[in-house]
Amino acid sequence: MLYRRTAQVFVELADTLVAGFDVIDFLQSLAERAVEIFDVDAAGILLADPRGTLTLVAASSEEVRLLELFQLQEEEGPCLDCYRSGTEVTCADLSVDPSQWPRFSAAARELGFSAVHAFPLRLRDQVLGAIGLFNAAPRELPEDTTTVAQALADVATIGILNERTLREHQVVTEQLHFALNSRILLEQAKGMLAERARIDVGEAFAVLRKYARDHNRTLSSVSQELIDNRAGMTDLIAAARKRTG
Amino acid sequence: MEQQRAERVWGLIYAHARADGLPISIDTICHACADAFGATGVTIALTGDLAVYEPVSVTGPAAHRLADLQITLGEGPALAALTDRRTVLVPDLGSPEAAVRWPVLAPAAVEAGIRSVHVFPLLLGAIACGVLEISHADTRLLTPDEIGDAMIFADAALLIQTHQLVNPDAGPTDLQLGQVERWAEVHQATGMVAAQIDADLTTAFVRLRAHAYVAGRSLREVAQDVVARTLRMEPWTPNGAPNGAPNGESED
Repeated sequence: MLYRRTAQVFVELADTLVAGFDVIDFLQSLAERAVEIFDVDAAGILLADPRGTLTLVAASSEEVRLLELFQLQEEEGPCLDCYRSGTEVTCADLSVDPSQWPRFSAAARELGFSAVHAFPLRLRDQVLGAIGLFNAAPRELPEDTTTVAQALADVATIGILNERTLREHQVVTEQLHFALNSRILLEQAKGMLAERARIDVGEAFAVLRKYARDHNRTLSSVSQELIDNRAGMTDLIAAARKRTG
Repeated sequence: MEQQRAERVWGLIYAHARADGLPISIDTICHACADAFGATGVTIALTGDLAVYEPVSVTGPAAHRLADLQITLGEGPALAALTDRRTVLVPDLGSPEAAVRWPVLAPAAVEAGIRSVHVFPLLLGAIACGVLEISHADTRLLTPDEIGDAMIFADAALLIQTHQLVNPDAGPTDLQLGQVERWAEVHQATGMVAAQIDADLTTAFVRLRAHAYVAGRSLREVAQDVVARTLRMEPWTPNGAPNGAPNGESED
């Protein structure tokens, strides 16, 4: 039963990896499905940003949302330990040894949770976050369940990394286009200024640069305005003519 | 196998940089690629909103001519590779197939001394950022093994062009282009012509290309004349006839 339901989730997750992938939707559905599959009462997912700061990205219930936020705020709890160590962290009964996470244990009991199992979202050496499974009653997860839970966490990790790679590609592509366009724009603006002010293109560059500095603007924005406004920027044209006498 | 291939190709690039005593640049990759393939010419070009095909490193006079023709005519293997985002292999530019596909460009390229060309898109995800073009004076089809190497050269070109941009301190003008200052003159001339004919840059660029095509000259030569002010364009008058010179252009 466990394996059949898990297999279904893997297929669903694989589908989300193709078109229109939204990482937040993906993780929210993962948290909800984890509750069904592992027969736990709640699940929450913490994800680290590129600087290593953890944030809550998905929660199956309001109670677990509050408990995950409590861990982040107090900087104490099993999900944080799991993220920091990159290994599974479990506590089958939070009332047995409250000294491990005194504030977290108290908050958990107040919100109605007695057991917690946290699995790292990990690919090789990289730990991206943690998924926490919570139970109202004290409970030990069977070994086959923990194996499957870690496999699910691994799939989530691949999904997140896949999305990040695509997003970085887009950023790099945009930067490359922007850089190339800025170069071309500057050359065109040099030519236009050279013609309007009757100076050579080398002088035009010096005038554009000085104008940009004097007005605390970028070369690109001055170039763009000159090109967009062929009759305008008379102060720049006057400065260019004056420069060469 | 693929790891070994990448190491071997990067080894060639490093060896070139060491021999020149310079850090690896886009020109290093262009030259190393030309050597590795015994090519007549290699061109690395990028694409953007303001220029569909912008050469950033070119080696060999024939490659300059091919790039010029593709920009002037707006057709060719490199433009096809950018549009379709895939590899375009043309083993014989003198073939009937090539003449059907690029009726003006193919014979002009052959006349310029290029008989075969292999174009590899620089791909970032689904987006084509540019191309690597390898040209030869003879008819030939690169072997699958050579194609594998060419793809590593294309990856290297993209990496070199993007790596300084990923640095958070890099500005938009930090894009390091190769020794292609003559292409900058095309953009300068476009700006000058736009002011001369009081038109937008797209119109000015079309006028430049049309002049080069009709005069049977290269776009770069025409651009140099405009920048040197030995050639200027006149605005068209409302009745269609240009002001001043009969063909709308005047030589000083």
